[in-house]
Amino acid sequence: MRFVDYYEVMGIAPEATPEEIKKAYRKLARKYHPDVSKVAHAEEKFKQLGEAYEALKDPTRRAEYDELRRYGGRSNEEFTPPPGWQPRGGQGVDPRHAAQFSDFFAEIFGRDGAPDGRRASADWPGEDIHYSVQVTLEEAQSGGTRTISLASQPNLAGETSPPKVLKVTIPQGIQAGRQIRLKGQGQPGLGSGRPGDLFLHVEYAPHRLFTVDKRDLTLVLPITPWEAILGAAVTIPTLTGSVKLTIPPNSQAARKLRLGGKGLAGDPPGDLYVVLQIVVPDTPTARERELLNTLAQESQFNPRAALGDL
Amino acid sequence: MVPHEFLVIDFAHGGRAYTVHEVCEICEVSLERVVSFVEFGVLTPQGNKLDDWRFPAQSILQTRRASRLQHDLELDLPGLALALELLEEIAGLRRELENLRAQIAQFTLGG
Repeated sequence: MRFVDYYEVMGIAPEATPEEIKKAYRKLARKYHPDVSKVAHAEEKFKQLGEAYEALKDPTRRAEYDELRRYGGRSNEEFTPPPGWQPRGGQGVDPRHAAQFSDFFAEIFGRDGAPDGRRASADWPGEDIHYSVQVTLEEAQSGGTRTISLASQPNLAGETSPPKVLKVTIPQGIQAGRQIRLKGQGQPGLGSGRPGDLFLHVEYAPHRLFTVDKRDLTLVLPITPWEAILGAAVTIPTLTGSVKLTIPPNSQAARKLRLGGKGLAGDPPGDLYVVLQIVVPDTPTARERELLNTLAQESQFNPRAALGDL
Repeated sequence: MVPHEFLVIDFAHGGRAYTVHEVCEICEVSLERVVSFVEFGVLTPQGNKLDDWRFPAQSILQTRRASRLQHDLELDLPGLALALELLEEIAGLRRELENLRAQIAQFTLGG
């Protein structure tokens, strides 16, 4: 069992006042709350914070903890409580924190913060697990199955449970941002408490060609300057194979063309937007240069008219 | 290990609507709390009377998220409603930003 320095977790001095502990908790809770935070490993940090706060906010538990710290507890080092150590108790802890406590906390204070907590006298529901599933646009388009392995998050003492393997069916047209609830597949409860739920959050994996907004896809389509001027019939990719697209004459760069219903499958299906990108050749042929020189000499077009007389 | 098999339901289509009592039961929150969430626009069910309310499947997550935030950050209801609105707005802006960045990257790569 590793010693956990709760003062370090909360970023406070060991002589912090109860007010300072509360203030530090509130500030860090806003920073690391998994529903709000974009900080890496926010969920893990929030759980550690909850455990540290439960240990330090209660005067009885804090006094006990300080005693053990003086007894020789060092952060992350192997730690065994003094022989005959008995938790003295303190106020009950927040049940939402209790299920996540490390063995270190449970060993010192009892699993639910009560002296007999080690025997799991209390029943608390297990914590929910949140997991992001990256779905490719092709999978979202056609549906499919996927096996995912969920590694559990280590608690403060570095303990993890074996990974859970799930086979997941991805329905056709699934949208990013959707959340899927799998009842009872979260963390186990304490005592006879029910297990938590597992939530899968669907995200689209970045695609080589398309960006996606809800069910609408956007494709950046490179065309030549003469295709932009004269118009052209070109073949473009979609998620379900290639289609013909007519580029209207006199199309400016970044012109957006819409192909109804060619986006992601669904009811209704999304649209495909094609954004024109005018690309010039890196090394034009001699003949191309010759023709363009003729054009340059004969053209009266002034794209800088709006800038005024220069 | 043999994988557990699950059917993933896209809430946009296959997801059915939940009654207020189902939301309370699944999320383990009181009726008063769900009613207060509706009053402050945190949840927006279909239907006018409490017994006619029908919540889309996303409400389950929204309810849990709201009660977690309310509890963990000690928020009052107007503060909670504001925080959730802003979070949603930020998520939308992030998505838009990511898309625009990806499109710009394609433009400059191809050019």
